[in-house]
Amino acid sequence: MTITLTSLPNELIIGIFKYLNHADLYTQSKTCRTFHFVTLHILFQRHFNGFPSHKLDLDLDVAVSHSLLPALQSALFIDGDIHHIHIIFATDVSLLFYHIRVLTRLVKRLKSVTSLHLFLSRLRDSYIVQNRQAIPTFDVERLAGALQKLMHAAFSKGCNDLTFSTESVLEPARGRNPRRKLTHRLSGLVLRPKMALKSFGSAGAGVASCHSACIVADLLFQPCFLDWTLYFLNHGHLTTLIFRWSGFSWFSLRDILPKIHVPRLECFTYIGWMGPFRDLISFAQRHSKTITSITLNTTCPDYLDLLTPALSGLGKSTKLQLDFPKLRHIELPSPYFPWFFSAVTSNPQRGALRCLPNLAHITILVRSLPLAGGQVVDLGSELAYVSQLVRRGTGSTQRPNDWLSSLTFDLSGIELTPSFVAWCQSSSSDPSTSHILHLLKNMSIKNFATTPKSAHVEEEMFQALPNFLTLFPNLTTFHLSSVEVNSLRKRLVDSSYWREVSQQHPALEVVKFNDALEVNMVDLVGGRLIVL
Amino acid sequence: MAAPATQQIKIRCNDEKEFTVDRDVLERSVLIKNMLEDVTEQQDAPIPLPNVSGPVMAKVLEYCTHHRGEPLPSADTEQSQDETRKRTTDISEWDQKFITVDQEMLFEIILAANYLDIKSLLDVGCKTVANMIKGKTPEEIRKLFNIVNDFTPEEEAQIKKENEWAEDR
Repeated sequence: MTITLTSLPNELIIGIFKYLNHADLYTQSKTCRTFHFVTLHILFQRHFNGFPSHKLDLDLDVAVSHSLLPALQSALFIDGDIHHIHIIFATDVSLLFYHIRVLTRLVKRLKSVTSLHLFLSRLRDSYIVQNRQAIPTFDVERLAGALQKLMHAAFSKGCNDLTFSTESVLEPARGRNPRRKLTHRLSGLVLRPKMALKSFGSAGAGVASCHSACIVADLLFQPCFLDWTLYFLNHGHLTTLIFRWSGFSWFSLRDILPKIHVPRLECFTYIGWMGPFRDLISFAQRHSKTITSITLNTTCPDYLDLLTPALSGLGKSTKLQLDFPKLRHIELPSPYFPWFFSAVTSNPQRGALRCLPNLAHITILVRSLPLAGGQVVDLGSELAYVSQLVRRGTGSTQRPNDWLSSLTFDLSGIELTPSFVAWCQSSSSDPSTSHILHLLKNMSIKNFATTPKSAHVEEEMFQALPNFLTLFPNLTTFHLSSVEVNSLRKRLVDSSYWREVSQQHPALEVVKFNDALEVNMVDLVGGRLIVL
Repeated sequence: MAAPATQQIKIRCNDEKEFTVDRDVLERSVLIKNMLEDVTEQQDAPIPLPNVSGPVMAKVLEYCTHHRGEPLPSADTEQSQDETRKRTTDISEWDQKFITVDQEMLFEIILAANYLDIKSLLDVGCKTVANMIKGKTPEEIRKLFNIVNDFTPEEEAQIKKENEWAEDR
């Protein structure tokens, strides 16, 4: 019996092939059937970590050679059933066109595509990184054309979820970063307005079926894209629109927003630098007949100095009359809440919360600009405000006093301070807040993340938690997200801790941590503790 | 270790060929190492190795003797190596000379190294084969390894199409 390469067991063939680069693997896949499947297996293993069968989730890094996407394509030879494409281009700029073109072909060959998420944000430029030389000439028209072709291909396959990002995903706060430099360059690209949109019309069918779009950063609003983007937004069946906006260009957003009218818009989200708040709210107001959820998430709490004058400017804008008959959820940074509700109530015809008859969920992005004096993060003043609001809502309308179904505090970007914990520990509730405290059944604290500096505060917070929860005697569900679960695992699995909590707080039914971990208080009383 | 380094162990291959080898040499093989640890009493009967032939074992022992005393790779270092290795196929000079054998012997050594669980030898074997594949065309690879092209004409056409697709730049 002669032993040959083909007669080796598969695990040994894999052991050999793992030393091959993509190009050689691809060649090898063409030799015979067995090797075809083995090589594809290796390529998959290499690039699809934990890849669920219908999702193409790819982080294209610099090391990836030219042959990767062809290999992906032949992967479809086995499984042509990919619906979700999520690709982060962390490749070298010089490879970008090639990758986009190959990806377009890939999309064309798929049976259907549900979502297409592209992040150009981590594009690297080896010239900058290695040689600190000038960026090579970047043909923007070509990029625009290539991207449009790709998007059209996706739409023609029924794509209804589009994310396109040139914004930096992991933008460092400070410091000189080549990646950031490139991002700026990309978003600051001046595209020539005469760019022909040849395949513009063919997008129609796809646009009509697209329900969700995350329009990110600035490229799509550059002149050569703008017509297409506006057509896409204004003529589609879009129900969810997410703007991610990087700070340096929101002035142009102000010009563009009035031109956008999304006929079926239900969920509107803006994530970015503080942004033109008034324009965003006006934009929402123009969609008030359909809109059910507004999220204005300004991610930089550092810009308080800039925020303060912006707010005082808002106060003067009395012309704006807000009326959202369908709105169920609103998410705003805390400094904006008083303004928002005063704008609503300033409507002389309706008044109070009559203009928000369906509002039931409020998310407060806790920002260190306080509602009532002081510079300390203080949920108390925010609670007092919501309490006042709830009372006002019930006083002037026929709404039941528990109209507020859920209240969420988003603590992202907030350093947990001992004073915050101290507030949680003090069970003496302010009379101005007691109203809301007694009514609230559903509360979440989002992004309860600590920095290494404040890690001990998290521990203190956990000690204070039972006391904190007793502030809300009717609370049934409490959700704490972004907790560093591992560091607190000991406590989380400690059933005596939870038994103590449940004794102090008989109404509490469920405590959730992040999304994976859930303590069912009802079960706990029965002696069971569910920890996933 | 209680066992002196000079302890001699007998093994018997599938062709009845027997070897008497120093224990520390044999312990390059994780399989035999574990076997020896499982056996408490001194045994005179040779350890049977039904999957390895005499000539191959001789080659394997040559490798083990040369590398005796080197630390065995632990599972942990193996893992981290896998991440940092970046598919390097460098082989040391001695190993390269050692592995310059005909193809059949090469595959026999790979099979034996896999069976005997000698990680470093398996790596040398696999890298050698990988180096033989590198940079060749599919036809050259088929010829070199005597691979039968078993694609159907349809599949062949499909692959050719992919090929064009891949080379379109």
